[in-house]
Amino acid sequence: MAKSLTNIKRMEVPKEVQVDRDMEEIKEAVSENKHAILEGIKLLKALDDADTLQALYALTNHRKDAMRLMAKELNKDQYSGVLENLTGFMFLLGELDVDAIRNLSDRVNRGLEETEKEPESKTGFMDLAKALKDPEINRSVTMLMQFLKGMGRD
Amino acid sequence: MLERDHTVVTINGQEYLADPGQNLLDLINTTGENIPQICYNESLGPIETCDTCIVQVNGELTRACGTKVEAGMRVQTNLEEVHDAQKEALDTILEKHELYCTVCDYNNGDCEIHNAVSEFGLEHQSREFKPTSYETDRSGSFYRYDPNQCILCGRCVEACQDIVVNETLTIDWDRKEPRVLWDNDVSIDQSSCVNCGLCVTACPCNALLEKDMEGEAGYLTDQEPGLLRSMIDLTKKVESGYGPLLAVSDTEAKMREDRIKKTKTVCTYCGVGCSFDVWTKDRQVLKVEPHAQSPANGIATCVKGRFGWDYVNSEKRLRKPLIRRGDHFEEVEWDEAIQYVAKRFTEIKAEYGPDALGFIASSKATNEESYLMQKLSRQVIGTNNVDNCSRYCQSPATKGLFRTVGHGGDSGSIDDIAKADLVMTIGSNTAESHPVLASRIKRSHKLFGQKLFVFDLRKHEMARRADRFYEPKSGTDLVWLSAVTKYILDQGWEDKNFLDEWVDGFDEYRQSLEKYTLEYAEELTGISQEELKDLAKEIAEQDKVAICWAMGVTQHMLGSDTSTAISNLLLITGNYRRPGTGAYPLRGHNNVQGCSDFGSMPNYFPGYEFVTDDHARNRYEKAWNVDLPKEPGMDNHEQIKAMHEGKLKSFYVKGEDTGIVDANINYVTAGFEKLDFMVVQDLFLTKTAEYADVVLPACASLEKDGTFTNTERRIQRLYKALEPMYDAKPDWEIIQLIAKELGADWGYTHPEQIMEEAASLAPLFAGVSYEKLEGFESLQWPVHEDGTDEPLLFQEGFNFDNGKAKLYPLDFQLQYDVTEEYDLHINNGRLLEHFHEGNMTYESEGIVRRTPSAWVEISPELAEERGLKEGGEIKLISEAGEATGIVTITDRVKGKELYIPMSANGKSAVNFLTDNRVDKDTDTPAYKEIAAKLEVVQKKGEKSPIPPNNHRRGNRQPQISVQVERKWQRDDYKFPGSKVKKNG
Repeated sequence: MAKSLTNIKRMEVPKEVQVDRDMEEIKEAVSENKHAILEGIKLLKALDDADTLQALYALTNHRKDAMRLMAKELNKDQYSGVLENLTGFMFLLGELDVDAIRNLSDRVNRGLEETEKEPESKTGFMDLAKALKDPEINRSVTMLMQFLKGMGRD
Repeated sequence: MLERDHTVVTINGQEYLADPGQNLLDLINTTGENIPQICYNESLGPIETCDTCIVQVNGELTRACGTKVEAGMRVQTNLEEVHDAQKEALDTILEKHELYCTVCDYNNGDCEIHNAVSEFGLEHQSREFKPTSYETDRSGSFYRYDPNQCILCGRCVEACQDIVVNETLTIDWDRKEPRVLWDNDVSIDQSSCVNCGLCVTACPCNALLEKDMEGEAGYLTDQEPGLLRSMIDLTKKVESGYGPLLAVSDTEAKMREDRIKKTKTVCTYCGVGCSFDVWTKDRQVLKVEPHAQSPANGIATCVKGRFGWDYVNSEKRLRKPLIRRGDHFEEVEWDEAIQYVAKRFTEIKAEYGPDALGFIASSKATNEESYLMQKLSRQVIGTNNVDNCSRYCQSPATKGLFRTVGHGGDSGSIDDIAKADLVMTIGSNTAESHPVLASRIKRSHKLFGQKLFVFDLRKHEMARRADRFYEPKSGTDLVWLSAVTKYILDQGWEDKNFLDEWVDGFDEYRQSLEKYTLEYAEELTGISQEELKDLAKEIAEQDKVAICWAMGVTQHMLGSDTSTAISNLLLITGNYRRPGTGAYPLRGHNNVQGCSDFGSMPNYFPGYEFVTDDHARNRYEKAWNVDLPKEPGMDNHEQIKAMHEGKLKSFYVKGEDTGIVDANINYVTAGFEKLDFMVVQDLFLTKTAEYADVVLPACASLEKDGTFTNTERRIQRLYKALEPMYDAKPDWEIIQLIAKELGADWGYTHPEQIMEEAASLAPLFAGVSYEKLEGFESLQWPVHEDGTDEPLLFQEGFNFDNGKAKLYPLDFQLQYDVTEEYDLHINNGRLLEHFHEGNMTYESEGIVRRTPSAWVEISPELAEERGLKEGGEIKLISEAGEATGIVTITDRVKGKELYIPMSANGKSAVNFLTDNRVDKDTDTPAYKEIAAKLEVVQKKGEKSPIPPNNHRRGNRQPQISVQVERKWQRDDYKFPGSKVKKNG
């Protein structure tokens, strides 16, 4: 003898029960992902120690402002050179001979090491001529001269 | 040996075999050569607007997509001048389209401009982007058009004009700044656009975009317009040169895959069975994307499938199981609800026997869920009282086909309907009820010379398009069908060879036709003898005839007989067994076919084996380890009657608003009130659920796995896209819980196991497996053990022991007519945008703003006679009840015939008027046989029930394709090929 009904009495889940259920769900997830979560905590700590966490938090909260300011700022004419150079630099990096530069910078470093030492005495013209006989000095001077030659080439 | 019919074409010095007349671009695409082709899409065919596929053919630069292969053709794709011409074409496109991919919502890996530029290796734009003076049109409900990103490729126009044939879009090539137009240059919202969304899918870029995608798809796209502009500028500065730009945006596109889920599903609305990917982000539906390989629909679908998904996230959805307690429902936990249901079932079965319980499966639910409903009913309870809503619509068609050809389903595929020389539709408002299938007919009719004859009371869209439109008197289709068949035989135009080889029962049938003379038919149907003769001649002359029919045939007292008459006519003219021919009862719900196929019927096991067949029953008894009832149970209609008689005590209905959709709802709901126990399983608290003792919250189709079977007998998989909302569960899980509580532990963990069981028991589905249905794969039953299916039925003979079809003699008595008192004929049916009774589509804000409520259509003559004006209110009174509604005056109806959409609810519901008349053979209610009288409540109203922005008020602009010739004639157009030559 059922008549048509439309009113529903909603089930009220007491807050504690809901909290318990949610906790259970979270506990399960934590247990399943123990390693990741522990690593995550390390990361959070590191970020916090460096005050980065707060900065990230603030930036996220204000991301729309930040985005607007950034876009507005970066769209100014004064940056257009920088922005366009960004990709230019990318290509420049691609063209550099990294091995050669590494070799050269090794040598420069060794040279710098030597300059750290106390000079033995003042260098006279004859000392200079004599020094050219030193194979190490001779190699450096030859390299420098070659470099100058290459640089001057059209 | 005969030379194979092939054409040899040389591409870059290598020889290839092409099909004669093959499109050159199609051929090039098979060779591994990569050339840009932005406006070309296989589903649309060549439209030749973008010029990017230029190649050299026999020394001349030309568009590959506009070229058909010829023997000896020499093609070069790698020459410098070819490259230059292609670059010129791409540059021209990039003048119209700004590449800011990283902050574009369309940057999802499938932007065809992005991909073309990237693959071509274009590094710099030689000419600057030039915006137009037009604003973005965001007036529509579901998508927006940005003329400043539009490259005028015309794919949207092609799609609208020649694929869905809604004929809303054109490009005006003559104005200074050409653009896509809606109708004769009105806003999207004010146009004839039906929001099928195909233009958006066809668009190669972000010019046309779903509003739900805007600001949602990308990580950086959700910005205020001003900021978005700055970011676009910034993007272009940082990413100067296309290389870096594309690299950054490709990375961003990959990142999107992490948060946008793309799930293949099958539409839950009509029986066409559109399949597509649904894009979701959390619970949000961002968009629906059909694919070229979607078997039933290709890249098309309709407004409901494309945009009608709001109901899934509706707050009105049931949250928890409900139990009736006093004057209210109370939310309870699942355990309590299931235990209660099981206890009451057990008590009622103990007291009154198993046949006091009735079960109704849903044609919206999956095949697996239909299978479980009948298994619960038969195995666990022990009754055959199980049925489904095909009883309300499709059983008569199935009956007619079982009588004559032996399989109760469409004889072929939608492709066959498209291939026919002549399509006849009878009692089918195809363009609104089966929009995507209708589009296939509209396309063949518009472009390929297919003939279309429409038989209907109403002058709906298909009737307006038809070559011939006949308006037989309601319920008399059997008569003209039989008279035309007789006339064909009298003239000797029948297919004699076919009859000799394939058909039994000719003599008896021939005799039964005696009464159907042309005079008799003219008198009863109102179609003149001349017209009937002419019609017979046309049918006999056409090589391939397909007949589609729907509720206008079946929902009559002679629905089964009329369906039979259709099949008889097809047999006499030999229109079975060949591509492009056959009988096509257009199924109404997504799974109305499958729900019956999988056994939720009182007389059939899954796969249409009779419950009375000992052999079949033994098989199920063995598998289910139980004795099964031998006698057929009660169908839907009989169950309602049994409630009134006090024989049916318990009623369990899932996914079916019986209290709205059954005929004579006053009688139906009075039956509910007499039940001892009633369980309703649904998404919402439906009208039917209001009478329930227990209401169980079920899942929407997007929230579960399973299969649906469309009107083509095509079984297709749907995959779970979303988690169930609130505390809802999929129907199969709920039924299984009830069974378990009743002591039957089925132990299914996935619907796949249910399908395995069904396939192992029902020979019709022997070879069906989820593996064979992976992704967009599908199977059209019968599916043999080796996994082969039958897209076109009866290739090996008809489904009877001797392989021969049977002609079935029919009688006719006119049983329904209007009377002096009830002088009006009330017709009813669907609207395009609101599905069925509307409980899902009314949840869509975008649909409701253009179609807020239903109406009553009355003819100009009747309005004049009764002094009614647009928006007036009327009351209709039939012998069964009364309904009120707001009128719209239209020539879609004529004389004393009125039309009420089924989406009318509340006091307008048409089923207040319908009565207990049924088809004599299947108990399908004769919804289409209502005589009523009219009382004027209010002569005129403030406004029409059809708002100004409804698509019915639009102004279509039919044309063929995008008319690219008009682009080529422009003074500022120069073919990139000739430009390059000149420069060189």
